[in-house]
Amino acid sequence: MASKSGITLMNSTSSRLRLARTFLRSFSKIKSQTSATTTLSPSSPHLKRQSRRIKMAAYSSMARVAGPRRAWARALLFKLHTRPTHRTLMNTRRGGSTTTPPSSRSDNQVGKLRRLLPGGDRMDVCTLLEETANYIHCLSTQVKVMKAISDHHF
Amino acid sequence: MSSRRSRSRQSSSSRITDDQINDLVSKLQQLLPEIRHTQSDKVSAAKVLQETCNYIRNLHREVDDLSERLSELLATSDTAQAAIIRSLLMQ
Repeated sequence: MASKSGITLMNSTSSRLRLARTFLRSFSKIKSQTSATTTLSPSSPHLKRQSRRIKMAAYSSMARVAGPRRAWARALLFKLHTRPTHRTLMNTRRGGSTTTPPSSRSDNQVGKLRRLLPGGDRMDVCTLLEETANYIHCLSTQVKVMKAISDHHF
Repeated sequence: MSSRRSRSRQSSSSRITDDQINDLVSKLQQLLPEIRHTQSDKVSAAKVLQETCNYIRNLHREVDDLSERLSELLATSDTAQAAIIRSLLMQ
């Protein structure tokens, strides 16, 4: 929504900052909804629900910053919007092996990668590798952003 | 839906050359801390893919852990947005 599809080449600093801003916006929204209603009670189901919301916000910020040109970002946003429970985000299509094409020498590893990358089950090998490289880049940036936030809370 | 997609995938995969795959695999290798500094001709494509999967799984786990940590911190303190952005610029 906020990201323009025309932006494909992002240098690492600006993509990091855009991700930080996008994620912080969602994060403070979650925060403002929290403090009004609840008091802190550790290990409660509330805390679990909260961490799931943060996780969803993390993946959704990542996908929005990457932009709609990225197949993994589209697939990830679709998944997040259609499955609010989020529990199934990582394990896509465990049993659906019927359409997996038998090709490639390192078939096994490619299949594993397909299952890990959002939308990976629908990509040809080249796209899969390209999207994976971008996904790793974005995911590691997201981890850096979250680490920076948690470090600053202390 | 999926049958239409798999057909288009097959037609495009026949045009993929080994060079293209090798290029992409070595690009991927650059992103993996475990084998980034190994010479690319000493690492098989399968190894790169395996490490890629491991790395993605690790990053997913890190997102899980950090979400948990942030949820615990939510109730206790303020997000100093300016300070965070500054620290990211310094890295």
